This record gives sequence, C-alpha cells and structure tokens, in this order.
Amino acid sequence: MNLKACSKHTLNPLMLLLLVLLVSACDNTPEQSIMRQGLVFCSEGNPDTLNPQFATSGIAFDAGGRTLFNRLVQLEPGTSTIKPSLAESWTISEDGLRYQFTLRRDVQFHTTKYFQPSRAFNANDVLFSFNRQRLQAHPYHFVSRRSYPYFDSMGLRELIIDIKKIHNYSVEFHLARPESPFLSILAMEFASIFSAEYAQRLLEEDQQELFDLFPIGTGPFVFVRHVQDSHIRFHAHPQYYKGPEKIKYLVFAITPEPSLRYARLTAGECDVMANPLPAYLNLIHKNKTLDLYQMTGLNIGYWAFNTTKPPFDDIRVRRALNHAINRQAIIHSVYLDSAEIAESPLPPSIWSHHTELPSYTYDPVIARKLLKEAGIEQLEIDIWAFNIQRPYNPDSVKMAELIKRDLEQIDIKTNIVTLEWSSFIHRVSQGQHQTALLGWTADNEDPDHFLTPLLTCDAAMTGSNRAFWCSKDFDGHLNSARKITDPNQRADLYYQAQETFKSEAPWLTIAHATQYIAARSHVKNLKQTPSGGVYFSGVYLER
Amino acid sequence: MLNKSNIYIQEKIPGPIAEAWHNFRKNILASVALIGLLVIIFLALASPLLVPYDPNFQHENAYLVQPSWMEGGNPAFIFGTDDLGRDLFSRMLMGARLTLGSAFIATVVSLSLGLVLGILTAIGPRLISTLFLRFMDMLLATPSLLIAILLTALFGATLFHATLAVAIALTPHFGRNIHQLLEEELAKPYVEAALLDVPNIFRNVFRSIFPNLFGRLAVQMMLSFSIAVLDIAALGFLGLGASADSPDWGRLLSESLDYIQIAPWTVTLPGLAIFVTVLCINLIGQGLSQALDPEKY
Amino acid sequence: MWVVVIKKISSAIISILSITLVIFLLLKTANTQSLDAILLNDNPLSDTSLITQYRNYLTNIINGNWGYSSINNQPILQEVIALIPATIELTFFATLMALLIGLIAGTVATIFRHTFIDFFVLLISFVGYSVPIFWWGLITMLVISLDWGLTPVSGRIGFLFDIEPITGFMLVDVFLNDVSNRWEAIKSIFNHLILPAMVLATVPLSIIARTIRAALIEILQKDHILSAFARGISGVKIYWIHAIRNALAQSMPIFAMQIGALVMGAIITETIFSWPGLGKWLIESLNRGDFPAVHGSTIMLIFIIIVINSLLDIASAIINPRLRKF
Repeated sequence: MNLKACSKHTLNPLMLLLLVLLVSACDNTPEQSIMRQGLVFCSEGNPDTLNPQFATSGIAFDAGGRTLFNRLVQLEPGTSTIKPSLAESWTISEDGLRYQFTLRRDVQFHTTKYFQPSRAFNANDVLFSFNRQRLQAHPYHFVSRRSYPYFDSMGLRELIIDIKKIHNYSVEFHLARPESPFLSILAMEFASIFSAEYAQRLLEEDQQELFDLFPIGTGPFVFVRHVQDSHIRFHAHPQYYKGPEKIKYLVFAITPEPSLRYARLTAGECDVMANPLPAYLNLIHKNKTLDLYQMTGLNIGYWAFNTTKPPFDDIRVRRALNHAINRQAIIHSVYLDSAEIAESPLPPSIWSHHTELPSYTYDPVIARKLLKEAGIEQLEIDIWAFNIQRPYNPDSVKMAELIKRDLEQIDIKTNIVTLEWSSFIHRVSQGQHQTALLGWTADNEDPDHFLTPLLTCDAAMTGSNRAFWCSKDFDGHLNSARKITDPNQRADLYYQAQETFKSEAPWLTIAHATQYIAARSHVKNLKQTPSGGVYFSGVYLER
Repeated sequence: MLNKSNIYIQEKIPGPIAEAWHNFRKNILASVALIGLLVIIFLALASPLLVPYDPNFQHENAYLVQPSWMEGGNPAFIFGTDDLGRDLFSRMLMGARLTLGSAFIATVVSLSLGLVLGILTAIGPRLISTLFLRFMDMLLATPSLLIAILLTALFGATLFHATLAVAIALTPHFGRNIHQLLEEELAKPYVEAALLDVPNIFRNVFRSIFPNLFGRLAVQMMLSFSIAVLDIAALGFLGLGASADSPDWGRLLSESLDYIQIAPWTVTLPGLAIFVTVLCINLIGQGLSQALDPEKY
Repeated sequence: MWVVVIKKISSAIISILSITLVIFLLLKTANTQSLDAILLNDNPLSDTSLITQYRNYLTNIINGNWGYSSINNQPILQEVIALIPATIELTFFATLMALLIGLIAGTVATIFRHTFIDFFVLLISFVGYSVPIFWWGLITMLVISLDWGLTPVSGRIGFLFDIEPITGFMLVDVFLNDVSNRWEAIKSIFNHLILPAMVLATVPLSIIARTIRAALIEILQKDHILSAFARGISGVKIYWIHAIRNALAQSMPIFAMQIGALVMGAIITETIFSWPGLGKWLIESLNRGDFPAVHGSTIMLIFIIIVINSLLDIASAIINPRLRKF
C-alpha cells in the first residue's frame, strides 16, 4: 500500500503514456504454443559444472546428474529401496566382494548437434565412467583439471579393485572388502554413465575439454545450451529408454536473488522455483495459483571450525563456541521456525540418528569459563558466509550476524566475510577459512553418506571435511560399520561415532531445515529429492 | 555619529549576493526545498541524539514490523523494522550521516581539486594547460562507478574508496567549469583594468575575479552535491561502498532486497529518503541559478 | 572537415592510452599478483623496467590477451564480446526512447512556455533527474510488472524461446535462428526490453528535455526566427526546420556528456532487471573476486565510452561548424 503511494508521486506521466502506447501495441499474453510444452525452473544458482563426477552442489546435480544421466541402479524416490536402472538385474557374491550387473539393451545416448551416437549403451560406457575417476593413467582422468570429490572422499579408489567387462551387456565389480552401502553408492549422481564413444571421438579430435562442457548422457533430457549466469536449456530425449518425457523443453533460469525468483514465479515466468525464503512461505501458501511442496530435509546446517588453525585446535575453544550460540534464536529468525535444532550431524529421519546425544546448552557463562581455561583473553575471529540461499541455510549472512551478536556477549570480536558461492566453496575446500557456515544435504538415506564425506580423515585430505578434523576413533567406527550388514550392529557403531563427534565438537551443529519448493499449480507429478532438488522426470503440465 | 545618518540622497543598491537571496526567496519551490534540506542535514548531524535505539540492536520478536502508520505497525518503530528486527528509523538516521557526509566530503574535495586545476589551466603555461585539459576530458567521460569498481577490485570495498571515486569523477566537472568561467572573465575589461592596477594575475584572480564567480560556483556545487549523493548511494547499493555494520542509504536499501515483496517499506523508505534529498538539492541549485540570472528564465 | 576527424581520432587514441596507463599504474600499486592474473602469458612482467612492463601490458591489451576468468578459465575477451551486445541493445533502445520523449517534452514545454504545462514538464524533469535509478527500477518493477502484470519481471526474452546467440543481439538473432513462432518471440523481446529501457532512459530523458527547452528558447529569440514569424510562416515549419534542428545540433555536446552516465545506469539497470549483459557480469565478477573479468569489462566499457564520445564529437562538428574550433 505504502509502495503504491510512493510510486504515484514519482511515476513520470510521460513514461506512463509511452508505456500504455507500447504495451497496447504488444499485449503481454503468454506465448501459448510453447508455454504449453515447456517447463521453466528458477534455480538458485549456477551449476559449477554439469558433470556430476566433479560436482558437489545440489544445483549441479539437478541440472546435470539427474537430468542428463542415468546410473546403473536408482533409489525409489522417497525411500531407500534400490531399483534397476541401466542395470536390469544384479547378483552379489556370498563374500560380498563381487557385484555382477546385467545391463539393459537398447538404451540410446543423446543425439545432438555436436555428437551423433552410432551405438547404444553397453559395458564399455560403464568401464569408461568408472575408470575415468578411478585410474590416474586413464586418458580422461586429468581432463578439465578437476578433482573427483565423491569418488575420492568415499574411498572408492581403494574399495574397487577392478571392473571387468564380461560381455557387452555384463560387468563385474571387484571390491577390496565387503561394503554394505555399495549399491546405494552406485545410485548416487557421481556414478552416472557417460558415453565412451563420445569420449573416444573427442580424444581423436584432441578436444577432450569439450567433454564436460557439452555433456552426452542417456538421461531424460538432452543438453542444448548453457549461458553462464543466465539459463541452461534442455529438450526431452526422444529415445529415452523409459519413453519420452511429457514436457518437451526444460529451462533452468538461473536466479540467485530469492525475491526475484519469487517474482518470476508469481509472474508466471517460472513454473517451479527452488528454495523459497522462509519469509515467503506464508504468501505462497495463501496464493491459490501456487503449490508449496515440503519435505523433512536430509540435511544439516553447521558452523565448521577449522581445527588445523589455532585457537580452534583447542577443544575447549570449540566447546566454548558451542555454548555461546543461541540456536533457538537462529531457528526462529533465520529459518522462521521451518527447521529444528540439530544435535547430531545426522538428521532424525536417518535410521541411525542418535536421539540422546548430550547437548551444549546455550550459556555464555560456561563459554567464558571454557575460554578462560584455554587461556584466551582476547579473540577476534572470521566467519565466512556465502551470498546465496541453500536448502540447509536460507541466509547465511543473517546467521553470521546473529552469531556475531552472541559472540559479543563473551567478548569475541567477529568479522563477517561474505563470498560468492563458487569462490566460497573453492577457498573453503582449500582450508583458507577460520570458521565457515556450511551445510550438507545427503544423496540417500545411508548414514555413511553424511559422516564419511564430511568428517573423516580421507575427506580432510580432499577438503570436503571443512573442519579438517581427523579422529582415529571416529574413522574406526565408520570403517567397521561399513563391513557389517546387520543394521543393528551398524547403528551401534554410528551411535558411538556421533558421540565422539559431539564431544570433540569440530562443528556447531545448527539446524535440520525443512525443504521447500514452490510451483505453479498447473505443474503436476513434481517430486522432491531427499537432497532438496527436483525430479523433472515424469512431470507434466495441466491447464 | 555623523556618519550614521544619510546626508546625501542615495539610492541603496544591494550587493549581488543580497540581490540573489532576495530573488531566491521569491521562488517558493526552492525555498521549501532549502528548508527541507536544512531539516535533513539537521537530522543527520544530530542523529546520535535523536536515534530511538542503537541502529544495530536486533529487537527479538520484532522482525519486519510495519511502519507505524500502517495496519499492524508499532508506534515504537516509526519506520518499522528490518528482517533482523533492527529499527529502520534509527538506521536511516545513521545512514543519512554517512551518505550526506561522504557526498559532502567528495564535493568539497573535488571543488578544491577543481579550483587548482581550473586556475592552473586558465592562467598557467600553455603546455601544462593543454595537458591538464586533456586529462580532465578523459576523466570527464569516465563514470564514477567504473572508477569505484577499479578501486574496490584492487583495494577492497570501503566507504572511503567510494567517496574517493566520486570525488575523482566530479573533479573534472569543477575544473572544466572553473576554467571556462575564468577564461570568460579574463576577457572582460574590468580585469584588464585591475591588471593595470596590480600586475599580478594570481592576486587578481583571487581579489577581483572570484567574488564574481561565487554564485556560479555555488550552483555547480549544488549540482555536484546531488550527483555525489546519488553516486554514493548507487555504490552502496551495489555493495561497493559502506560496510554492512554501518550502512549508508544505498546499502540499507540493498540489504532488504530479499524481502521487497513482503516488506516493501524497507526498500521504499531509504530510496525515498535519497530521492527527496536529491530533489531538494536540485531545486535549490535551480533556484540559485535563476536568482543569479533572472532574465534567462 | 577531415582535420576535425583526424584530430578527434587522435585525441581518442591519446585518451585510451592515458586510461590504460592509469589503470596499469593502479594495478602496479595494488599488487603484482592481480596484474599477473590478467596477463598470464609469455610476457613476464617482473624484472623489467616500468616502461617495458607498460609496453607489454599495452601489447597484450591490443592483441586481445585479456587474461582468463579465475572462475571458469574462459578467455576474458571472448566472454566480454559475447556479453556486450546485450548491453548495447538495452542502451540503444534507452537512448532512442530518451531522445524521442525528451525532444517532444522539451518542444512542448517551449511552445507552452510559462504555462502550467511548461512548469509541469520542468518539474517532472527535475523528478526524473533526482531519482536514484536503482530504486526507481525496483519500484517500477514492483508496480508495473508485479502489481499490474504489464511487463515481464526480468531477462531478455521468454525462457522457452530457443534462440541461439549468433550475433548476441536478440533482435537480430531472432531472424537468424529458425524459430517457428517468430512474431511471438519478437513480441517477447520487446516486452522484456521496455521496462529496463524506460528505467535507463529516465535520467538522460530529463536532461534532454531541459537542454532542448533551454536551447529552443534561446534560438526562438533570434532575429531570423522572429522575422520568420512576422512573415507568417507556419509555426510548425519554423519549429521543425529552423528551431528544433538547431537546438539538437547545439545540444549535442551535452548529450555526449551523458554517455558515461548512461553506461553507469546500464550497469545498475542490468543488475536490477537481471539483464544478462556486461554490466551485470561486471558486478557479479566483482562479487566473486574474478579480477581479470572485472579488469576486462571495465576496460571495454571505458573504450566504448571514449569511442562513442569521439563519434558524437565528430558528428556534431560536422553538423555544427561553429564547434569545430574545439
């Protein structure tokens, strides 16, 4: 109301006249024909890469992993049941060391302007996709000069001894030790299947770097174009093995500003939007043309202390910081109560979540005492925050400001450093930070996928362990758990691991956020992934 | 005693400044603008005494409270609060200091630099004159934003760099203008007469010529001040100026951008403040130039 | 006339040289790392004299070695060239709008001088001149796009149109691409263009209106115009043939002064309306610390300003011989 009043005073009548003239000349009826067949998704950021082998962010998996590619196996959406995908069936040897997959026939790769496949998917493609990540001698291993964060941090290089092609439609994986979550690992995006033929052709033309810029997969959508900071365009794969998608075009409109994203959704320029800000949820809920999808998130938002840098190498300092922060206030004002306080790195919906972990109560007095014990009189710390909204943290800058306020109570001076997302991730993984606000969304419901990439010593080497915390006890629990198939015994080990984590306090665990997406109500059969993304496969429009 | 009473019949001719002031007061719009600007400046100067709350204090459970005149507003927060529960009125008062203060500094700095350059190019040796004129022409074309971007990229984003960038961008406007005014004046007969009297051109510039340029310089200063306020605000908006802890009006506006549809006042009010201030300055400038040269209008 | 052209070109070259020198010196005082980041190639910059270093820097700029983006390792010049058409398209339409409306408003104000209309135009031009463009853009977007639903919120074209950037100018590419629904696409382009162009045009429009008004008033008081009126030549003819043209020619230098402001406005407008041009990229690169990109786009924008300024100078010298002495 106030807004309209101001604008009336400043609206230039001449411009209004012109506007009316021009608008009447070209009225703004939606472009019917293509609007009926295409879906626009307003994503919250640029994917850092479309190749899921390199990717770590959910945006990249939305745009690359699930859209362009398939895996050997897949998870039934919303459950932890493994279903066949490019592999029709599989057998596991009794010692749990050999996995043999029978591959689906007549699965076609994408045909595009830049590549026309001459053959269907076969065992060579499986070998190529895994060996590129696994073998340093592989001609594609160092192409694009990026690391393989998932493959490395999950220790697959040591786990997989060999991959054998038995015949064109059968492959066998040899493992070094039994690994109970192995099938669910193969369902993760980094295990996507690429075209070996395409790779070979680019190798012959000496243009290997194009492989990751212009991807070819078997997935439901075909890559058309990526305009940096603007949009990514796909069209439906006409020979998709599950049958072509109902939506003919899919466009990712890259819109980092949450208010603009919401504006685009209400104006009908987007059909689906990622991560509405908590403050907008009420508006979306009331709006009859919009649907709100929500899901208890498989995520954790945390504040990581770089344990390699003093004073954070001192456990008392880390505990003091844990006591110093009022997390309830953060949940209330940053998440607007659309999250719950996290005590464990594992969200409650994961089966081995420890419900009785001791909590660091909010108490500045204890915090001061611990700091004094650590011999710290004056402390000035940096908090790194990032400038976009993530499923586990709608506004990390705001969170940093609240933390700063709490730290002032115990006389710690705080500098908030705000960085752009990709440079933030890059610099944090190199360990340049003192402390940083971070988060994680799991790719499946196995506890291992939370703890291994975030907290093990291996992960500290690759940088996905942002606290660079390395505990022999913790790693020991995880390693033994992987060798066991009995869920109860595994759960016990994970409980112990969580206890170790909690007492060492390399993070302040902050919140498990509820995940939202909003869509216009003509979008049907939209499903959220556990990691806060969207399944575009199977979506249709109804007007 | 005798001196006090007029013995001779004498017509009192007001001085140029008094006459301009007389003309200015007749311009209602400009007078209102002058009063408005004085009020804004007073608010900015007295802001530490006037702020109802600490501008950075986060009031718990008072997030995005509407301004007091709207439904659901709270009279305790005149302009409402932002997403962290900080009082917008207090923040805007503090922002006024930063925005107007740095704009004023930028204007004064560029005026001084412009004076030096203008005088140097008008009466200095030919080589120096052409060199500096060429240099000013080059700068004249470069917008303050690009200078600020370079400074920020190289030395970091601070309000000081933003102010410096604006000052650099404004300097050639002053320099060019002063140069031209001086050239015009130097060609006039009274200067020639004065030169015969005291053959020192520098002394003449200051003693005889400058008093005649005060009015023009004042107009130019108002114009530059308005540009400076707009530019400082724009730089703040783009995150190239003030820090998050002590935001100027532009930064204040951009901080709440995420909530523009829910809490439009957090964006409209700081913008309105910039707009009204600049409008006042421009109206005063216009009134001033009309008052100095009434025939032209 | 050729003397003027050559003079202007040489002064533009001198401007460019001195700008690069200033930027080079700034880079040197900041730290050498940023310089190395831009010119990471076979010209080692250390261990040589400052003059050699500047020469190398200049050679690289001229040869198009503008360094590589620290984010995606793409050559900067290539990215800049891909992005600049969007900025030009926006700025071109804004200028067109500003000239057209400014001219009409200025003329109308002169015709109805000292009436309410004149006062109104002047006041509006004051308002337009005083409004912070970023705020104005946000308000118009909120009211016109969101409340009234008249224009799209942001971007250059509806996302579903499949237009491959060939020249980068949407209005050209739409004809080069094989689009089935071309008219819909063109309509969409204009719909997306109108609001940002209007916002960008606001300030220059106000200035043009006022300048034209002032120039017209001056010209209309000249003897030959007064005598033309006395001889009964129709007002329209006098205005169009004698007054407006002269006023335009006379105001050229003032318009030229607006180019810098226009570029600054374009950067802000692009950021607000998410217009994928050089300005938006510049601000984004600055925020993500991609120094080579910031350097490249700044240099490009400064070059463009200088070139357009010189072209306008030449044009006005040709139209208006009195200005040739400058």
